[in-house]
Amino acid sequence: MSCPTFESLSAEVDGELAQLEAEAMRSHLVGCDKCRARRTQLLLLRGAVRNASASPLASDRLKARLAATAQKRGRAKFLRLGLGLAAAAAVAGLLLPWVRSKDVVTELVGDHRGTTVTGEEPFDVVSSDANVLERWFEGKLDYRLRIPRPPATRLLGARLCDVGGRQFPLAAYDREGRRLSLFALGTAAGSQGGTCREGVAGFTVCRQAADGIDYMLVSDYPGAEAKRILTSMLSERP
Amino acid sequence: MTENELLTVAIAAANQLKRFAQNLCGDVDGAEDLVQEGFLRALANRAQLRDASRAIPWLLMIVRRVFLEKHRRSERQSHLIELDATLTDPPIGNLEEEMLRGALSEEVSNALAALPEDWRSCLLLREVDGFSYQEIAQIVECPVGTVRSRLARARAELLVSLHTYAAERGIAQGARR
Repeated sequence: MSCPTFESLSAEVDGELAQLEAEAMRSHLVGCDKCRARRTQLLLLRGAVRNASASPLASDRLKARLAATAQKRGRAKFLRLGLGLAAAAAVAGLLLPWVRSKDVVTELVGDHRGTTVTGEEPFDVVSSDANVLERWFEGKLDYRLRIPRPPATRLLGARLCDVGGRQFPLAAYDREGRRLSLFALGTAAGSQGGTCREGVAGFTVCRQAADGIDYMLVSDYPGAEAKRILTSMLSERP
Repeated sequence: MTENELLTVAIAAANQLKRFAQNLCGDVDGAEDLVQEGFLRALANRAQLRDASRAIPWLLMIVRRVFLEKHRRSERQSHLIELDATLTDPPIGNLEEEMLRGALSEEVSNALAALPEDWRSCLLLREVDGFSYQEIAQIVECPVGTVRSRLARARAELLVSLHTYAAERGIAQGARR
């Protein structure tokens, strides 16, 4: 057998020859020093290419960008549906101007349901260590986020939620088998007493400011208990 | 495949997507933009993905499409190079030891960067990512036979470049041809 072509040897090292061709190649290689040397050369080249090629680690920023891209698209679809309904309502004279003020809270409750309760929307970072989660948020927010570490609860992970182009961090907890989402809505003036409302898309929403950050807790606890949990969370110090 | 399932795949393959994009466009920030843009397009067209097990090659194909749309001129140029190129056997020299020692990493990088995009993409998808010819054909949108040919040409070109480098430094003395 005459020596195989370079292309055939190249396909051989990739294991991409047809069975008959591969068998003929193996027989030839046994008796041909030159082709064996060529084959060795191709295998060494493989190692050299692997060593030399860029192998960047995807930054958390990229993963967050991908998550935000999916979320924005989901929001856009939601908005298109909402605009359709609004147009229909306008025709019927039933515009509800109060809906707009509730949008952010309602959407964040949806994030609590999708991420913390059902798991349909993945965490950006999974860890039970608050330090790890805080470090992940560094550089992504224009304020320093402190994630409470309350006793009798377990951190599950965190995510950066996008509502209307604004970023809201979410930290998810497990408490007695029930799921809680703590959102930071932005900076606030000092600390303020909390408010609570039950029945927001099926959940209880409590808000309270502490250390200059406006927090919102979403859970399925009754209002008074949810308020007590949030106050207790925010009074903890690392 | 739902949007969330596609997101999970994309996040799990983020390193691979970014590496591929970086090898296409040559810079880190541009690579992340490319991946994000490709992912957005994938979300919009996810109904076209019939086989969920092929999601990663499909994402890579879209990332490359986005890149090519932005670089139409260089794509045409590489096709011209491919049409003109004839495959001649590269020399067999004493490159092996140098390659094993990794001393030629920079030269390999430079030689890789000098390859036409479609040769380089095929080579990296094979050598680094370990895709089969069939999968590479899907990603770079060409027949399997073309993948086989591009891989051989890319390897021959790299060996010629490295042999030239080695000969210039007296490494390849005693080379067999």
